[in-house]
Amino acid sequence: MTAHQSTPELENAAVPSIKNPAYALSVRDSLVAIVASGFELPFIYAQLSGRLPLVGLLFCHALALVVLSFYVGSRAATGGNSVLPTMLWLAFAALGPIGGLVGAVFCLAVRFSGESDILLDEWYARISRSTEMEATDVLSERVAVDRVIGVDAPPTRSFADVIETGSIEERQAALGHIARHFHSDYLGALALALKSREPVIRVQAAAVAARIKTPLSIELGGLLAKAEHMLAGHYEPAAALGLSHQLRSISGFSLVDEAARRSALRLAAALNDRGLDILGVPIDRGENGASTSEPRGLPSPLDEGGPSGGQPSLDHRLAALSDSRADTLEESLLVNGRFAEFRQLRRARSASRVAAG
Amino acid sequence: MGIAETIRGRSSGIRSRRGVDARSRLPQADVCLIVEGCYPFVPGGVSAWIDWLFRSEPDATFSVVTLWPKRGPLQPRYQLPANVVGLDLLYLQDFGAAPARHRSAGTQVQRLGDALVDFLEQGSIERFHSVTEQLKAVRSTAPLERLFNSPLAWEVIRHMYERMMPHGSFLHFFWAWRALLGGLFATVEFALPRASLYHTISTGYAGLLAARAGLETGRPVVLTEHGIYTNERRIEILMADWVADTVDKGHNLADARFDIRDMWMRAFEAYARACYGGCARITTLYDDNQRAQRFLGADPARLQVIANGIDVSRFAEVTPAGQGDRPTMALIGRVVPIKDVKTYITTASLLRERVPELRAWVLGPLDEDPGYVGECRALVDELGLAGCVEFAGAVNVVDYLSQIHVVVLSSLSESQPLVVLEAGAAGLPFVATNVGSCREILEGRPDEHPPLGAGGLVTNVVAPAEIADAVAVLLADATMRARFGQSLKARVKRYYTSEQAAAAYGKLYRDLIGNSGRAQSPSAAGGEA
Repeated sequence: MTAHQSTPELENAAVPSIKNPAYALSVRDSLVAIVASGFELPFIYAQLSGRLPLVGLLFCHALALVVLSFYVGSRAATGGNSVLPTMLWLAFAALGPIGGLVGAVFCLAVRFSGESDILLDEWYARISRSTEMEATDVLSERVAVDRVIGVDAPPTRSFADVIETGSIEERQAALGHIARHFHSDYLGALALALKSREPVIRVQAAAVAARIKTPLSIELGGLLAKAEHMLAGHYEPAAALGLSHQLRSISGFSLVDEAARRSALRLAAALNDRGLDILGVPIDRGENGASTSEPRGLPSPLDEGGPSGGQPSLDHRLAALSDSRADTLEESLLVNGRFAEFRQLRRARSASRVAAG
Repeated sequence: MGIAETIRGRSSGIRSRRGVDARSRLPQADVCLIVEGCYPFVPGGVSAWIDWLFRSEPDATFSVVTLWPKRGPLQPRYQLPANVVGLDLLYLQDFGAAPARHRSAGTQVQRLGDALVDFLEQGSIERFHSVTEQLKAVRSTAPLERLFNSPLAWEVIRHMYERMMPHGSFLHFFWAWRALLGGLFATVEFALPRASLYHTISTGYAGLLAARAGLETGRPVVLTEHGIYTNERRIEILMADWVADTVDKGHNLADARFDIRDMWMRAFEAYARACYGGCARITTLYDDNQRAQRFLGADPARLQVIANGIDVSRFAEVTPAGQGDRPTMALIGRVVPIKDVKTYITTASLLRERVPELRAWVLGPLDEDPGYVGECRALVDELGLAGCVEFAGAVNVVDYLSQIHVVVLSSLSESQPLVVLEAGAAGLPFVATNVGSCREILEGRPDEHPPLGAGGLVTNVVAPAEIADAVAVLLADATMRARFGQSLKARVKRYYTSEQAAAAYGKLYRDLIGNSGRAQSPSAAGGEA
C-alpha cells in the first residue's frame, strides 16, 4: 500500500462546515452578473442613440439571458445552490443591466455576511422545527449504530454447521474468522473443512491449519502448564473439568504433535481422577494401576449398581455435598464414562430433592 | 503459420514503464506474455514454466511485461532466451505523481465513480471497458498519475464511499481505494507493447492489463492459470490481519453489510471476471480449477486443460527398489511449511511401529526456510527417528529413485506437482494428499479411455495416520506397488510429457494468431496497437 500522506482535505475531513451552502455564493457569481450587465450597456447606448433597432437590443438581451441560463444550469449540475443565481437571472431578465448590477451587489453582500447567515440559519431551524440532521449527527449515528452487531441480521449459525452445509463464500468466511480469531473451540469446524469435498475449502483449511499451528501449540502449552499447576495443589473442581474437556478436544486434532497429544490426554485424565478423588468416588484403575483416560463407552444394564468396597454410600456422600460440588461430580462421572454411577447419582439427587420437599 | 519464422530483434535490457518512445521502435513480438510477481526475478514455479515455454516455442518471438509491486533492486534469475525481444516492468504501487490542480465537473466525478463502483461490485469486460473509457475522458486533461492525487480523485473516492459503504470507516476505505485502484490506474496508463497475441499467466492486475490489450487492440488474449489467483487472494485477504474490520459482525457470517475486506475480495473477483470475459481461451492445468473459473463467469466454451509435462526420457533407466531392499519412502520437495514435512515425519513415526526397518528420506533444498527445517529436525529428535528420517538436501532425484519403494507428498497445497509425474515416469507408486491435481494424476480423469488404473493412493491433508496406513499397504505388497507404478508410468507417458504440452501451446498460438497474424478477440473493441 502507498505510504500514508496527509492532505488538507484529510486533515479537515472531520471538521464540519459551519457555513450554510445555501448562501455560499462565490465572488464569481457577482462577476458574472457584472459582465452580463457590461455586455448590454453598449447595445443600450447604441439603441438610445438610434444606431440599433429595439429588436436588435432585445436579441442581445435574449442572448445574454441564454448564456446566464447555462451558468445557472452548471451551478446546479456541480451540486451548488442555484437559488440566488436564479434570482439574479430573473432580475437581469426583468431589469437588464440595472437588475444585473443590483443582483451583483446583493450577492457580494450575502458572500461577506457569513456570521449573520449562521445566526439566521439557526433561527430558521428553530422556527421551522427542522428535522434535517446535521452532517456530524449523521456521521456519529453511522458510527454508533451501523458498525455494531446487527440486530436485523439472520441468526448466527455454528461454524461446524456452516462448514458442512454453507455456501462456498460462507465456508470461506468461517475459515477466515477461524484464522484471524483462533480459539481451540474452532478445531472441530477446521477438521471438517480439511476433509471437505470442495478443493477450494480444503486448500483454505490447510492454509488455516498451517497458520494456527503456532498459536495452537502455544495455547496447548499454556493449558498443559495450567493442568500441572492444578495437579500440584491448586485444584479447583469446576475449572479442572473444563480444562480436562478442553485438553481432550485439542488432543483429538491431527495438527497436535504426538508427544503433546499424549501429555494432553494424560493430564486430562489426571484432572478428572483428582476431581473424583476429592469427591470421594473410587477411581477405576487398569491392570497397571493407571487410571482410565478414555470414556469406557455405554454400560450394559448389568453395570447398574453402587460403587463397591468399603466406601460410604452415595446417599451419605451426597448429603455432604453442596449443589455445585454435586454438579461437578456428575460432570466428572460423565466425562469418565462412568454412566452407571452417573445415573445412580442423578436418581439419588432427585430423591433427595423430593425428600427435602 | 503466423508465428514469425525469424527472430526480429532482441533487447537484452529491462525497460521501466516510462520507456514508451524506445518501445515504438522495437519489433512486434508474436506473443506478449504478461506476468505478475515472478519471471524473471523469482526462481522456480511459474517462472520455470515461463522459461520452459520460451524454449519450447523457439519459432515464436515473445515480449514480457512483468508487473511488480514497487521499485527496488531486482536481480534477474533467468537468462532471457534469444526469442524474447523485450522485457517491460510495470510498478503497481508506485502510481501517482504531483497533484494536478484539476477540478472537474460533478457529472464527471459521478460518471467515473459510478463506472468504478459498477465494475468493482459486479465486474465484467463491459464494465471494465466503461471504466477505461471514463478514465480516457478524464486523462484528456492531465496524465492519470497526476490526477490520481488530484481533487478529482478525492471527489471520486467520496462518491464511491457513499455508494459502497457509507456505514464503514472512510479512512480505511480511502487507503484501500488508493491501493486497489492505484494498480488499476497503472494498468490503464501503461503503454502496451505491440504483439499479435497477449498471454497472461494469471488474472489480477496482469489479467486486467491483458483484458485492456484485447479491448484496445482487438488482438486475441489467452489466460493460463496454474493456481486460481482469485482464490489465493481471497484466502490471503480472509486471513489477513492488515485488513481492518470496521463493522462488528461478531460470528454472524450472514451479515451482509459491506466492509473493507469485502471490498478487497470483490475487487479481485471483478478483475478476474473482466479477464475471463476478455479472453479467447482460458487454459489451466487440471479439471478441478475449471470449477472456480466457471464460478467467476468464465465461458465454459473457452476453457481448456493443458497439463504440464516432463521429459520422461530422464527416468527411463530407473528400476524401482525390490522387496529385499530396505523399506524406503521419500518426500521429494523443498522443506517448507506448505509441504507439511512435519506430517510426513509424524507419519514415519507411526509407520515405524509397523515397519521397524523403515527409512524415510526427505529429498529437497533446506535453505529456503531454515527455521522450519530446525523445527522438523527437532521433531525428528523428539520422536526418536534419528536413524529413520534423513534430510538429504538438494540432490539429483534420479540417483535416489531406484532405492525408493513409495514416494509421498504430504503438501497442504499444490497445483500440478511435477514430482508426481517424475515418480510416475520412473514407475514408482505414490501416496499424495488430496491437493491440486494429485487425484487426477493418480486416479485418472473421468474421461480417460481406456482407463489405466490407479497409480497410487490419495489421503486427506494433515492426516499422518491415513498416510501411514496407505504407505504400509504399499510397502507390504510388491504386486500392488508394481501395478500402481506401471499404471502411473503409462498415464504420464500418455498425458504428461513435455512434448505434448509444448505442442498444445504451439497449436493454441497458431489457432488464435492465424495465418494473417491477426485475430479478433471476443471482446474486441477495434483499434490497433
